[in-house]
Amino acid sequence: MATLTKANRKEIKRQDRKLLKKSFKRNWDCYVYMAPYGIIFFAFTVLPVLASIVLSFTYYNILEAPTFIGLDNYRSLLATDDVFITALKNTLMIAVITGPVGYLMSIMFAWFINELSPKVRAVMVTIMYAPSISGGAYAIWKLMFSNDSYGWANSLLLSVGIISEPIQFLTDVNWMIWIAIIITIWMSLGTGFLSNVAGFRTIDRSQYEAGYVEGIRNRWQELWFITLPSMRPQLMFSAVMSITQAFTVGDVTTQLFGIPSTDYAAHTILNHITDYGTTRFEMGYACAIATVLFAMMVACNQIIQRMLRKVGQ
Amino acid sequence: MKRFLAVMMAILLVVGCTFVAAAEDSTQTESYSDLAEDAAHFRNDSLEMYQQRQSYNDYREEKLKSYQSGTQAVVIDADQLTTQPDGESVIVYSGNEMRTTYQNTDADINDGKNFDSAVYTSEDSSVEFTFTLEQAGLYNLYVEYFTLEEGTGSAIERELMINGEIPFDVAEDFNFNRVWTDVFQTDENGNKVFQKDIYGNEIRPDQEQVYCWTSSYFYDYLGHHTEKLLFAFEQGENTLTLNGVKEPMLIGRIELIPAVETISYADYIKNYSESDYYDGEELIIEGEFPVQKSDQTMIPVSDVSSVSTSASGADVSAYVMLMNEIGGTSWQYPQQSISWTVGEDAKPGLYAVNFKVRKNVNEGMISSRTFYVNGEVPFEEAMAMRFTYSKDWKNVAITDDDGNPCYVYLEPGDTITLEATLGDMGDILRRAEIALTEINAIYRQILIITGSSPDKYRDYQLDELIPETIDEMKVQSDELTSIVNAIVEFTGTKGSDMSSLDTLARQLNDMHEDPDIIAKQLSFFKTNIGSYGTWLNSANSAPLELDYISLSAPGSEIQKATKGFFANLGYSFNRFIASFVVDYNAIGNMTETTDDENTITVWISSGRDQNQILRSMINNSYTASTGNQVNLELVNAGALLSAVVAGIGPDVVLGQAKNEPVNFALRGAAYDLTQFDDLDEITKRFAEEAMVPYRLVGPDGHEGVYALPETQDFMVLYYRSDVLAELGLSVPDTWEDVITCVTVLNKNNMEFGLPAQEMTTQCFYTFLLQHDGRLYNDDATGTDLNTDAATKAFKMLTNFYVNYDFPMQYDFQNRFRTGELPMGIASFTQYNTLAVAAPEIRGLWGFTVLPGMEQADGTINRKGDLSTTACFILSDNVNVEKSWEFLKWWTSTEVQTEYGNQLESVMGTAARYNTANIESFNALPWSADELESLNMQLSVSQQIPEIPGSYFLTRHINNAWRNVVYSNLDPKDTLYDYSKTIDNEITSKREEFGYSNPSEK
Repeated sequence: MATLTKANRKEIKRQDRKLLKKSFKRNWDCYVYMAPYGIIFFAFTVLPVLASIVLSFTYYNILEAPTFIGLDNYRSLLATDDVFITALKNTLMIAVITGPVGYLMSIMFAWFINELSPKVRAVMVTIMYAPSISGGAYAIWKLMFSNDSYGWANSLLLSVGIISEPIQFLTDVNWMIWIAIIITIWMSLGTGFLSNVAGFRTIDRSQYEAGYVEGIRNRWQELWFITLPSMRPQLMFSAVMSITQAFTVGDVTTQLFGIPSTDYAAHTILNHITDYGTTRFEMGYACAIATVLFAMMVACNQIIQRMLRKVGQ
Repeated sequence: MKRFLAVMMAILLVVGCTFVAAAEDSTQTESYSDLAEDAAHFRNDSLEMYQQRQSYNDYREEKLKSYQSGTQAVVIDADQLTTQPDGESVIVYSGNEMRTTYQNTDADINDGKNFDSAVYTSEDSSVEFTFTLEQAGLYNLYVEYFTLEEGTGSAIERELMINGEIPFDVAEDFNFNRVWTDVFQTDENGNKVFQKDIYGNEIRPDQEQVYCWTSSYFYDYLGHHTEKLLFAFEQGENTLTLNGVKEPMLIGRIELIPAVETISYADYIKNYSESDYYDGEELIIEGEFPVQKSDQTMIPVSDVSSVSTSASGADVSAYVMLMNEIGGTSWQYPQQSISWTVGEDAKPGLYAVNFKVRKNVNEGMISSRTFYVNGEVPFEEAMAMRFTYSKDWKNVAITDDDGNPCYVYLEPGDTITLEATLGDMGDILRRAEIALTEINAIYRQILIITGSSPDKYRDYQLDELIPETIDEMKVQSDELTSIVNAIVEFTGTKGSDMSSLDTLARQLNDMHEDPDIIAKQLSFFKTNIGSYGTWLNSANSAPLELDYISLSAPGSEIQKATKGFFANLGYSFNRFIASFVVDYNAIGNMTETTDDENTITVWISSGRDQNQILRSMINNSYTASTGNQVNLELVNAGALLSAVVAGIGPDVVLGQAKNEPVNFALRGAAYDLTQFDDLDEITKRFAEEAMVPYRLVGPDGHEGVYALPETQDFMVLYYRSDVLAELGLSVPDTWEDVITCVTVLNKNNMEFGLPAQEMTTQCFYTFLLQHDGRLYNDDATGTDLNTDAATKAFKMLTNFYVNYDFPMQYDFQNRFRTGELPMGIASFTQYNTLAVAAPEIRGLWGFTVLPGMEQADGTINRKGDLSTTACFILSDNVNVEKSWEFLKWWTSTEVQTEYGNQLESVMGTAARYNTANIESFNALPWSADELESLNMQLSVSQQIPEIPGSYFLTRHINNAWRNVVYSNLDPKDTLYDYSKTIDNEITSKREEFGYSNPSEK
């Protein structure tokens, strides 16, 4: 490749612009269709993310204008903030346990339910999807794990004689994280599960027949070589959903254990953001945490995508 | 696959059932036998013993045997007063002085009562009258009294003694209603109308007390006995004593009226055989326009649920709110009465009277009403009219037992009154209440032996240890069954909610037959008692909605009560459309929202009822007197910060948490009130401590004040007098006494409630104050918890849980009701809830000041924590002066009192407003004793200051407490560690806000 002259470069740029214009002209209706969502997405997702990245380099107490302080927030976040490390640990713990477990469960349940007769299936789908509709059903969980000796779990354990004093499920550091994990798993069935059910339904039956001719010997092979590869998009979707859910656990812990929980034992990154953002009015710092969380989620999604490409191989 | 699913579902089912089934008891209590001996000296010290007085029914039966009905009517007036007037609690007024002071000048109300003299009796007075009877006899008592402006506006309560003795239980407390009326506007034709907002919505009228002469028989205010009570008097000299319980009372005269039966309708109609039957058009008296009411809670309401509800002059509309009915749950307690006037367009004659009513709650129960004409029940059939359950409106006529209509003679200008009564249910409900008390006692008897979480496999030998209790079970089981039968006989139906009685009766019977199952069933037993209590609570009320009263020609057709299915369908559709068009939050606006300089914006975040009350008060009082407009907006509390950031925040915000003002002030967003000259004067309205969290010394050394307190809250000690008497305990004065009590309580498987888990900081602060400690150092640069006082306080607080097994989490109300937790510390606002929700323990409990630490000089330090909520001005505000004017108006005594009254009238007693304004606080309807306890506690309560970083205090005191209690760490070290963490945060926050920090020591 000969060196490009200035004129050449200009020419290329001009050509590019022309092409772009042409493609825009040809597909203008697509852009119009995209616009409503595009604008909303930009305004309420892209912009806040950008704003938060910018604010993470400032001192901003919400009520007064932000002042630029460089990397100070990141420095103290990564170097001196013990609570952040706790929050990171808790979040990862919850994510590592609930993400895969929830994901596998949603695939398995979808697979089981797919085998049922249509009527029973409809009922079961509704039952399994219920947790994500009734997302705010913390009252029941609170009742179940109430610290009161009359709380369901406590009274059951007391009457069986396993314990002699009520366990303080919601305030005792040894219990909180496990309670959070149980509830998160329960709630994570839902969207991902639904898309998997849909995925199972879209598979062409003739593929199975072909598979049997080609020597598929059992249901597991059928699942691995035919079913799952054919529904990669749905798997992708539900994986992304469960990763995002797992990383943004925060509501559960706030509702059940308060902000902050005892000794930060169930403090997640999201709780940490809330704590700094609304209790301490240190929005710059909170944005720095949010940026870190964002980066983690992006990285995690990349890894998942790579792994999913291996399905059926 | 199907098998797998079946198994899954079975597992789910089993797990679900176990959880539901396990609404279980618990808390293993260890025995403290060694400590119980120490407790012995503490027993039977001094306790106002709870006494079982003779019941009215026994009294009545006894007296009916030996006494005749009285023959001579006796009038007792001020001359017969034998108590020496002291010019303060007892004053005798006579002649002109009285006539000019105590007479309502309003021509409509002036009832022509002109006594020569009258006796003023204060809340804590005791007055005795002496009179002579020629013959012993049974009488009804009747009193004429003046409703004084003085007092708090709640019902007057008096205790009655005859010849030096309280004759029966009911006589401990008689209620005499005050007189209330709605403030209506009149249109050009002189008709009453409601005020309207700019959208055409009708606004709830203000409630006004009428000060006038009124009268009442002596009734059982609980409604268990619906007839006029009988009192026996001896031949010769008798004395009659009235002791003040609540509210002052001006007594005109008391009359002894020979007990006579009300005549039957057959006799009544004979008296009017000469009179004409009315033959004109149907006349409608709209329920929403009463002339008088016994209390302010019966407010005209807007019903939008049915198209058939009639409003005067207009059909119900989907788009505007019209006041179109009265009653409902605000008109449900015995003795609550509403009066209307027969219009001038009526003719004297006999009328068929129909009530268009609805009662769509408490299925299976009947709401009864007594019907009066000019203060008298016309005939027996009108004593207790029954209104049965119906989903929609229906017309109910006055009828005799066979369903034949009863006609009533009315003249223009007559007053018709409907009074809530329990009717024949009263007697049954009284029995039900006694049964509940007995059953609760049975529960406690069992509890004492087995504990609340008995071992299923142990033989407690209850039939040998408490044979009487086991026998009592049978008695109560039979009693419950007979109560159920009586109710079914009375109402003709068996409501589904009565199954709780059946279940309980069956269970009692089973437990009686086989005492071995008691241990297993104890928790269910408790649950069943609870649902029985809930049932009793709802059965004791008789709600009824009234649309209008129809007066028509006997035998003629009257308007149908409902408009039919299609009318309702169309209306519902319109309402659906309206929900997109109408801004419900703006209802009540008298002016268009404007932004001129006279208008300030005020945010309130409580509820729509509060919002409407405040809005009408602003319209009627604030804007009317100052001309300043206010935009009142109902906003979610969390929105304040974002709104302020966006520059669209309000000028004034009400009802904020106490940490907010300083949070905003530190960042320059709250206005400093010290810039107003009259601040010092205004702060005198509140307890001195109430201002503490709103004062903040800035980095420049200037002390600013950033908010005014709005409500206040502090803890008091509640106790069950009956349980304490049973156990021979007295109300503890110091924490040492508490520990002595607890050993006895624990031995009896009961508990003491200290809310340290829920309110750790407040509890810790209480103990800290009682040990003369403090939270922060002098210049508030850090905590001061590394002291002896703090260590002791913290040790004490944790020790209750580590060594004495206090329950960490509990439902105070429920356990207090059953007596499982007969003593506990809780907010004084719990009083209202308990008073309303736990009628079965009425009179068996009380509250008093907190236990304290005994000082060297013998006095007791009872300091406690005080919490307030705040209202403040935001700095981004062009109308600072006007905002301040508004805050001054809002926190003033009259406005706070008025607001409290209105709130109580709309939302019921349970919503009593705990205002921070001291004068207004004292004007709330507490009894004298209660108020004394409250003021005593308030005067020694202190509030935690707010400083930069103080949110860390609550957080880490919680952590410290939990670590010690759950994991048994050393209290001193733990507190020290966490106080260092708090100090670090305070230091860094101080740096952030430009304060200088003391150099590291």
